[in-house]
Amino acid sequence: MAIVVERKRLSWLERTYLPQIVSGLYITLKNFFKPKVTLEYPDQYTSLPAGYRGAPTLVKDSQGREKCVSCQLCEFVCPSKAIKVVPGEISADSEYAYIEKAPSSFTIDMARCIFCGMCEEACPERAIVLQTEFSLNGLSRSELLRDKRSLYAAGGILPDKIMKWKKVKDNSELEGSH
Amino acid sequence: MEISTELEKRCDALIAQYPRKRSAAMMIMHAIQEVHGYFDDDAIRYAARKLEVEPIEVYGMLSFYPMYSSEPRGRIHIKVCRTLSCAMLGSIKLAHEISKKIGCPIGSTKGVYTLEFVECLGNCARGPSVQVNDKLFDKVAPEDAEKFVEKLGAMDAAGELASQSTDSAPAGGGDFNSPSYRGEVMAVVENRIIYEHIGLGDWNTSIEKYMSAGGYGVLRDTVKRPRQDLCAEMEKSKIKGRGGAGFPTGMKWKFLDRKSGKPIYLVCNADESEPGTCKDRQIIYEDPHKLIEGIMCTAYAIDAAQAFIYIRGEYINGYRILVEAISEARRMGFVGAGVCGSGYSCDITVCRGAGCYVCGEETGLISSLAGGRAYPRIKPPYFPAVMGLYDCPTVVNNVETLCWVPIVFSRGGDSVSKIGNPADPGTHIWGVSGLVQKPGCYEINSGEATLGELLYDLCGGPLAGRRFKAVIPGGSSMKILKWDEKFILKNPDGSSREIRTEDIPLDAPSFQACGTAVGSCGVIVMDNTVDMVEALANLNQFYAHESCGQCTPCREGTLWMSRITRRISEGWGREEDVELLANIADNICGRTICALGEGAAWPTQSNVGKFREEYYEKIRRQQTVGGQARCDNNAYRLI
Amino acid sequence: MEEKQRVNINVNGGEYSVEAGQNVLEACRGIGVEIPYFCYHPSLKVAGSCRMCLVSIGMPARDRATGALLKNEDGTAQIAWAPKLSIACGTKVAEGMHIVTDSDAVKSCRQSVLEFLLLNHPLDCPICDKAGECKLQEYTHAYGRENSRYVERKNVKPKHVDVMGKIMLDSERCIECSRCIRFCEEFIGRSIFGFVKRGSRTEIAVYPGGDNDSNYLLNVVDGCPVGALTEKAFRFKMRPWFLKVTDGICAESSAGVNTRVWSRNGEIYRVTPRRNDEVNGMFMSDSGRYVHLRFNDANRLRQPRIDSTSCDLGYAVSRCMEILKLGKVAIVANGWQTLEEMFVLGELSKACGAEVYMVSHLGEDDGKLVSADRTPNMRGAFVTGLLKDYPPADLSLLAQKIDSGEIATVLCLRENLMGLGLTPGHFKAAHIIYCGSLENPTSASAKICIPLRSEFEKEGMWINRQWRVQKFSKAVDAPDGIADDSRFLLSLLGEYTSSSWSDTSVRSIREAMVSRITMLSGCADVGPNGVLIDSSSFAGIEFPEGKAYHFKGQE
Repeated sequence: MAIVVERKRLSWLERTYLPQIVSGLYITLKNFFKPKVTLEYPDQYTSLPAGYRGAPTLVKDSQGREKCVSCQLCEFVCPSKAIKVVPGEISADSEYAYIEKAPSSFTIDMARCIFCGMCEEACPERAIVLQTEFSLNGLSRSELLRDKRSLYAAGGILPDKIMKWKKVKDNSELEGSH
Repeated sequence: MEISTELEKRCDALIAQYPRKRSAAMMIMHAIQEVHGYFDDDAIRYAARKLEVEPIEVYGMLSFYPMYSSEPRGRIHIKVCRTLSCAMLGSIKLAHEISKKIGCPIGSTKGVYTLEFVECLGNCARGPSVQVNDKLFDKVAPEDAEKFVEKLGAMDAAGELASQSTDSAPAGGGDFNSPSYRGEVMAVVENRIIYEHIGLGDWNTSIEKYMSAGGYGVLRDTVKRPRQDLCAEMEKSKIKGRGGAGFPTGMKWKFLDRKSGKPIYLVCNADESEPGTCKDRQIIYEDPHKLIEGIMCTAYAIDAAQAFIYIRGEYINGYRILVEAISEARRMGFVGAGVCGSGYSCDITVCRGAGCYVCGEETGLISSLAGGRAYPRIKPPYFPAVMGLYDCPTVVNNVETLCWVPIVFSRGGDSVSKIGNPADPGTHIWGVSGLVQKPGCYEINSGEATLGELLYDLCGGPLAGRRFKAVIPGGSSMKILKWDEKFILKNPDGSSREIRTEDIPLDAPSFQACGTAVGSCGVIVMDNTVDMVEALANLNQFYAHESCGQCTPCREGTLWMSRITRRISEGWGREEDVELLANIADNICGRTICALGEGAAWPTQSNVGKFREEYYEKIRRQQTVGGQARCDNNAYRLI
Repeated sequence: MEEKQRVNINVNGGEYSVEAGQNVLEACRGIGVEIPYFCYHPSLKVAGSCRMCLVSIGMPARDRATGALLKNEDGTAQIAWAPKLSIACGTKVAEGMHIVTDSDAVKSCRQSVLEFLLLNHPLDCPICDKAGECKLQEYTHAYGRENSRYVERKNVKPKHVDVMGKIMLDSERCIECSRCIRFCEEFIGRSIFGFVKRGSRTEIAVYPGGDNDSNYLLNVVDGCPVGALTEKAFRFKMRPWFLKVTDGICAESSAGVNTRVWSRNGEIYRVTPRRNDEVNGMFMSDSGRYVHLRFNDANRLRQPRIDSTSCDLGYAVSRCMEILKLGKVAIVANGWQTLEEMFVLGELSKACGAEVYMVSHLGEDDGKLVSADRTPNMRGAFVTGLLKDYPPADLSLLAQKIDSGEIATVLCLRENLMGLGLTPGHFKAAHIIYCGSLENPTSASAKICIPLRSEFEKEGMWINRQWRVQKFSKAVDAPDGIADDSRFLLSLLGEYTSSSWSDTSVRSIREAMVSRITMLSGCADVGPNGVLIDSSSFAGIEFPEGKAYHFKGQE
């Protein structure tokens, strides 16, 4: 149904449009003397809030071990199918042989990544963490395809105290002859 | 490994005793263990070949039963009992002292010594008990550890410690036991029917002695009577099983499937492993013919094709005594072909266990006797009366129960049903252990004495300067009773009366009314020096060690409870652990294949339920004081 | 099929009629009530040890003395409930049984059993291959606690133990359900796995140096409800939730084992058995799982060739047709072809007057799921009229006919003629057209090579040793440039017959076949269990298969 909009009749002063011009200029002048909020990017940077979702990176634990065990949950949950993981086995003579699994290849296509953070939520090992990088560029699509090496380089160390994969002594040593 | 012809002959002879080759597994493995000392790959393959099974099955049995070892052991193998009755008298401390003296850590081998803890040796009334090779030593106090080690050294030098083959005759000198306690028979209270020959000065285990006292007369009469009459007498007697479950024996015989055409087997359960229970030991060691007569009477009554005695592996000399007694009886025509000149034939085969509590459960026993890991079987369909040993109808009865059979057959079921409380006829043999003046076994008509009379009058009351605190009436699996608890009992005329713990009459219905059970009548007494948390930790460790591992709640729950109580005992308890323990025990109860689940859960439920304040107090003290906080006047550590 | 007896039971308050003789767990599954379980397996004896399927069971109460049924005050039957929960897998349904699976007691029992199982279970889900198809994960999500109350240290047991190079054993993950032990004892007939140690320290083990191998060992990997036993060939390859599943039939032998083919992006990652209680139960052979490896890249015939030079497929096909038109044609068919292809081949042979030759491929019959006939569809050749008698083991007859000049062209499908009695001389004397998927000495010397699809790349139907028609679906796409078998054969046929096939799909061929061959009427849509056909017309022929699993042999 049509709605009739009421039109107010303008007064004779308003018909000259001078009050409107003055109030408009007044707003402009008011703002002229307020402090500037413009940031001269890229010379000036804003501080990113906590929990900012920048580019996803892979992290190492406080002992320098690569945390990712290629469980492929991030690959599954990624809404834009940006992550591709090929799982692999840790060789028996490595010092982390008891962890058994690590990615043989891990690529994130940053052209597809939408920075949603679902991979970080899904990861059971806290291995993939979205950090602060927000400005990504490359001269070709293949440059935006980040591999495992560059993801770990970008990630750094996660200083968390949970040593889930640290081997502990067998209980039987504590409980006497069983 | 070289197989000597002697070992080969011995294995062949053992295999010949069983209807199925595989059944000889327990005994063959004992023979190999004895001759070779341990199981290496050759030994395992030899056993597998002899029994016609795969090596993995032999390896499964080897790792299941603690008495078989896959590593060589020292020449002097010391086993210290660590279960509650012995622990309360200081066996844990004793083991640590011995360990220091011989320089061998507990649970390992060093030089000529192997030192380890074992679970209840069935010698609770004469604790602390120590088994060295095949000799059992009683009452070894922790203060005497040094003297004990010296004595062992001297015996070893004189060659007296060497184990003898179980094929050989029983050790005449007996174990280094104190004589069976036979104090003043209080004629009003004690009524030694089963124990009539135990502790008598001029008694021995020979068949001549037994027959001179009128033995085997009942068997002679029994084989002339019709089987239905005998079974009817047993039913009329209303005697309950004495192994711990208390199932009426006559009814058990009635459920036997006599129509299947399969042979019927009788198995005597001599695997007395319930902590606190030490009553069957005396019968086997001092009056074996009473048991044999009972077995033969029962075998005839149920028309068994063969009878087995499954005796626990730690009763080494008991095995020898039984084998000799059976061969004597066979010579005299009481066992084997043509029993007492009749057309009935039945032989008895003795099979040794190897250190497993769950073999005391009837289907666990059947699994072990059939040659394998002692896994209880699900019921239905494996009710022993229908599908027991080799899936044939089987009756499994306790040693004491079988000794009642000749008495019922000779006196008549009606007469026996009038002994003691008519709802639980007969006598009970109470094996009292723990912190009393005169621990021992006392046979009393059911209901004709109270708990207090047993503990004060017969056992002499608590140790000097102490007060009773708690009692576990029927072997450690039954619920604990506080000493100053009050109960409501029903009188015959329908009215009720309030009683204290010491007034509970010693019969099954009364204990049931008080929320516990008579079980195997192994009374464990605790006094005010005992820390209830450590007592529970000791028992939980027993159940965690003995769980067979087949069904989920018992397998995981017992170890979880054991870890929690150990952690509290070592000083790291949390307040939520108390409710957690009770909740775990509730989750195990009623959901397992066999009764070991209930047996593991009831001590925790009752202990935490009745001594809850003690737990909270201990945990709070730990959290304020830091580190371990023990009961201040605890006599000995129990864990 | 005779009518089975039925009983009336009451489940969670609803009345149902179910088949008698089954256990409560299967009966409830049939009416849509799920009871979780670990140790129960439909093909193995009941263990009753996991305690997960505990439910409340009650029977109508009867008067002790008279045996009459007792009634409540409101007239309903009084139910005597068992004092403890009973296992559903070990209890058989009976008339009037009442079952409750959703009460608080049952829910608390399930929750506590799962809690107990998870106490010492390692935190391996991210690295465990079973994740995504793990019963422990699924039941914990549905029935378990949301947090753990366990603060002690967990048991430590041997991990990643290699068993016979086929299986990885991880004892920490094991929940001691004993399915692997029972399977080896009952199906293979030998104890291979066993329990060692006691209580919570119990582990699963094989005896080192023991006789542990068997061609059916990998079935324990399918049976294991958790990730304790995993397939080494599949280890760390792919997560199951990424894999597409298609129904297949094992091509290893005429047993016709039903399979599932798991693939992603055109690559087959593994093959597992599919349940068919009439054919293979829930099992398959180990060798049958790796049949797809025959078609790996190194061996694949990819490019059509004429006189050893690659060419375009259309050109190769047209050259084929020219040569066939010259006459004196022999067709060598094979036992791996689908029924539909054999049907078209039969029409083609009639149209061009060609004789059909086939070769038998025999091996040892293991009495279980690998039969003596190592082709999946030899019987299809009989039904479609390509064979009258059981074929010989080589093609010496064909070689003679080439020598004598009776045969000038051989259209060979898949068989390696060089190994079956033909010499390079025959390849010069006659035109050999080789159509197959693999490179072999024949394809190296043939005049024309036409690449065809493997059985994983097409759909079709095969007839197994039981005379059961079973269908299988396409699992993966063939590599580019490889001909569609039915379209290729139809285009050859089209040269001879005037009626052209407008629809060259397998479905339309199937419909035509079913309408023209009376033995196969009713097989247009066979369903997952297949359809048995009347084989009486072949009663005189001696087939090599002997008595085996779900097969009685020739009567």
